[in-house]
Amino acid sequence: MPEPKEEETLALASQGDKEAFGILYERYVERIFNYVYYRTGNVHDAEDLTARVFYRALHHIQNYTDRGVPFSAWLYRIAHNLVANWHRDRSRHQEIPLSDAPTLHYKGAAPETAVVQTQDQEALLRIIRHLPSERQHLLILKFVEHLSNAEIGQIMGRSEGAVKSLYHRTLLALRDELEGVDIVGD
Amino acid sequence: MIEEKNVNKLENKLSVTLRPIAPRKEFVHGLGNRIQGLRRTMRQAGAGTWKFILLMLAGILSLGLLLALAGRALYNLLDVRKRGSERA
Repeated sequence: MPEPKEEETLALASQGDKEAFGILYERYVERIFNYVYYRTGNVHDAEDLTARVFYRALHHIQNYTDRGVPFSAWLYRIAHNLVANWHRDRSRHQEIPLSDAPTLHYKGAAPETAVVQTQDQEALLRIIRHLPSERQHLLILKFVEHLSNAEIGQIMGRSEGAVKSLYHRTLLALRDELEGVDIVGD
Repeated sequence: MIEEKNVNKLENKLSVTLRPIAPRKEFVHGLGNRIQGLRRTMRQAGAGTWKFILLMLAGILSLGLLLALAGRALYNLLDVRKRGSERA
């Protein structure tokens, strides 16, 4: 059966259609989870924040108006606000690291292939997490979602050229940071 | 400026590090079920709100009617008394 069109699903969901919101949830849950996971680096918090993104979306879907930008942009904005709050709360309270974090797998990989990051990858992720949020968002959309500059521009509310320029500046910033930890040179 | 060679190297590192991750199936299904349940509760709550608003409106209208009737009765009573005293 062909998937219903985004606009139709959105119109139904905003009228309170249970099935339509379910379709949107299925379509975007992985993307939002990936965004939150790479922004927080923590499975528990990524799951908690992803759930909150969809609860908030559910409560406000009646007010959603199609302004020609993808629905994902709306969801990412909710996720961005929640992640920002999470970082703010986290800086105020000392967190105790959880040792019983569930194991995750790369998408499409065999179930026994758990996500394991090398020291270099961990260092790179740490550096990415210290970048301004819009640069992190750009990298996630480009490398995790494999979106084009035009698609990223639609989501981030920028022109294709602005995305290209931001990407170049992000690479420069990353290169400078990586030189400090000697990862890029190997 | 950043050299092409370095760009490629950096992009390779980024594509290895930032790979799509599959969330736990239990989490996705569990959250999906909770959302469906929540949707039902919200609808019921919405229906409850409408019932409450209708009842409130009906109550206000009834009270207004009652007050108007009481006012009219009082006016008539006072008018009758006034006429009685004038005749006397």
